[in-house]
Amino acid sequence: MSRHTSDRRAPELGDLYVFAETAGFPVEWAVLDAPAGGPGRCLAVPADTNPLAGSADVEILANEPAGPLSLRCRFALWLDAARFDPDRRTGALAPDAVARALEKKAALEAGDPAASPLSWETDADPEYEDWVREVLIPAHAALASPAAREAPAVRARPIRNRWSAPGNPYAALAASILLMVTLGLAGGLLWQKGQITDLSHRSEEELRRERERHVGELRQTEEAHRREIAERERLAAQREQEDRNRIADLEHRLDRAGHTRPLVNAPYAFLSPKDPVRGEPETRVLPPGASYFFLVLAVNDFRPFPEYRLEIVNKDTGKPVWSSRGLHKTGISEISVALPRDLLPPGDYQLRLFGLKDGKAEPAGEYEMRIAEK
Amino acid sequence: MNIAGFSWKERRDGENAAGTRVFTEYVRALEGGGEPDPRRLAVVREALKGALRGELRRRGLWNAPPDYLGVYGSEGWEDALEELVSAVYVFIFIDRRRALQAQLRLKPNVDGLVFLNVRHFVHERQKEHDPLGSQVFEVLQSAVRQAVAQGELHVLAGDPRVRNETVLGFRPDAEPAPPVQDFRDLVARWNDDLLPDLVTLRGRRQEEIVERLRERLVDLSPGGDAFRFKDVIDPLRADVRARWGALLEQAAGETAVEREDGETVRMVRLSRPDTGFEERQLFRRLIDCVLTSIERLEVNEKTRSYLATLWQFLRVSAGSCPEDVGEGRASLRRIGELLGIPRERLPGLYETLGQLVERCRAANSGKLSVTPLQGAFAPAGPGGMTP
Repeated sequence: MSRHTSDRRAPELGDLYVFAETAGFPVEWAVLDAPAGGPGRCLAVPADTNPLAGSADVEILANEPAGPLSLRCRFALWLDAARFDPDRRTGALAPDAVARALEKKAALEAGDPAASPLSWETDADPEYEDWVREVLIPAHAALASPAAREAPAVRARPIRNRWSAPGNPYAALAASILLMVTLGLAGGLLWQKGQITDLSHRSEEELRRERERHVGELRQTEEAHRREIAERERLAAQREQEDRNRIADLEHRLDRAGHTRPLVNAPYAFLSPKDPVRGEPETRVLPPGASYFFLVLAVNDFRPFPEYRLEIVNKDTGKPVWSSRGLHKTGISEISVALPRDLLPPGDYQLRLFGLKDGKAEPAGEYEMRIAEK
Repeated sequence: MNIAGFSWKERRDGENAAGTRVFTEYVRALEGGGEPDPRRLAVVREALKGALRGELRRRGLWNAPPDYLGVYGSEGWEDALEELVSAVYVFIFIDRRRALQAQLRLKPNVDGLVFLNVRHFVHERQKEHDPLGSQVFEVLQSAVRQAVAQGELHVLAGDPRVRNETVLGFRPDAEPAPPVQDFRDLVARWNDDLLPDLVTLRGRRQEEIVERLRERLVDLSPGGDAFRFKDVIDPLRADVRARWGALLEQAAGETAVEREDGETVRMVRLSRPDTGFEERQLFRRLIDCVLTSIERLEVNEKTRSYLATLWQFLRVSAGSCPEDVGEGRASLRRIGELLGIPRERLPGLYETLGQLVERCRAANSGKLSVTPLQGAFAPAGPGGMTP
């Protein structure tokens, strides 16, 4: 860390701080203006490490103190010096960087940011727009209390030559004239007073009612906005969650696909339809390490079927061990399947093939085989 | 580790998908100074690789060549990731370590910030090395966002900020799962009209091309009530690359001028900068300086527009092509056709740009990625270019 001092001095020009109020956002705050050694207000701008720098930003390069950073001068705030916690000072900018940022801020206030063409390009970049909307605006709002939005305090100038000041030779004369005019107008004023008082009371009452009405409307609008924002956030979160689930599922499947390895020495059998005059079924010896057993069934039934169903029955137990539809004949009248080795323990099996068409299953072939183990 | 649907806001206080805070622990360990523990470093590199993988997928780069992020000569991304991991490590844990440690003062977990920095890193690299692709994406994304803001389009599904997988509809109640559509012919017709402005109009003038593209989005409606952003951006980018790519490959980051009957031409090599930070900064300053100079030049608006277009072309060329491609063979005629600049104006424009580059190089007083060739930018002599 470039600089972290434990002294409890007041913020100085160029100091970088983090604030608890903006802990949820990846920003620090750079001090651009600070009162000399006493209480008062400091001018601070958000600073972050997003390399996108627009027309209202100042880039602090990686080879400069505390760099790389982007100072977002459009989001400057005046903050009470007391809010800068010395324990949360995180670094310091070079004086030149502060000067550049102040220059930029002044240019912005004058309405001419004097930006470079590349920074205008950044302004038009949607990623930059997102950064401003999702990070800088909310961070600025989080730190800006009503007091902070005020302009820095300006010391009032002493008023010279007040007419009531002691020793003024015209004071008594002026007072006398004023008194006479006042007395002369007293009658009229008394009559007017009643009117004005009445008007004043009525105006105050109307203003009060209007103010209350506006406050109520404002609250309602705020509440509606809060609800709308909450709903949008909920929908956005829901969409993101759906996206994440979908992506996680895809990645999982991709991972699994990536684990598929070539099979070598895979056992297979080529079966022809059962010959009614043939005796014992053909025996296939499966090596113990085999994970799959490949079967190719020759189909001698030349009727066209859009799909086939295959049933495998253990002849010893009479129980079906596997069945599936959706099989299709290859161009050379064969059906192929790869069966997990565990599905076929040693024994005799009958395989029945059906052609499926118009909701009907027509027998299309019967096969037999014997499985043995090494 | 899945960050494809990454939202730093969600991750800022949470843990990563593996249930650990790999990056946070690493940043904390670095606070003590000294060399990082090799085992811990290996874990961090693996996690960075996962984060990069996710970000590349999110940006639709996973099926693109690694050249788009400036990694040349790699077979595929798995190979290129090794190189990228080293670069992103420097970007995050060396250049931005101070800022990460600053954030660690306030929050228990900075893993989200690391993911965020990965995003920034890839974005910056893509802009630098795939200027064509990123510019086209940026313009279309802006056009679609404006159409959404004006109620001409509605986000039906996916990221509302408009990303590859965002589904958009012409009606709010349109089916949010449209079939994949083929817009190749349509976007090619768009490009007949939009190029070269789609690539060369930038900055304050980008708004013009965004508006022109937004007006054309309605052409997508005959294909259905809804479409995926990806189904439009992919063919649009491919068409721009196809039109510019052939020329850029020949141009190889130069003005790419072929000597034609009896003419002697001067060239400027605007080559891609090295990966060094200072080199890249100087390169950016040069681009910026020349753009500013063009704005201030005392010429008529037509000439200024030609100069800006030609300079953006050179800039895209420098970003798009590896350095080792042979020197330019594309003719002035082809460049003129592509950029919509009368061929006979090109020699003079090159000459002017050359002078601006020279001035900017001198002003920046640094070693720039610009190499004059064959006596370029010397006062025009016999056979040289004259404006």
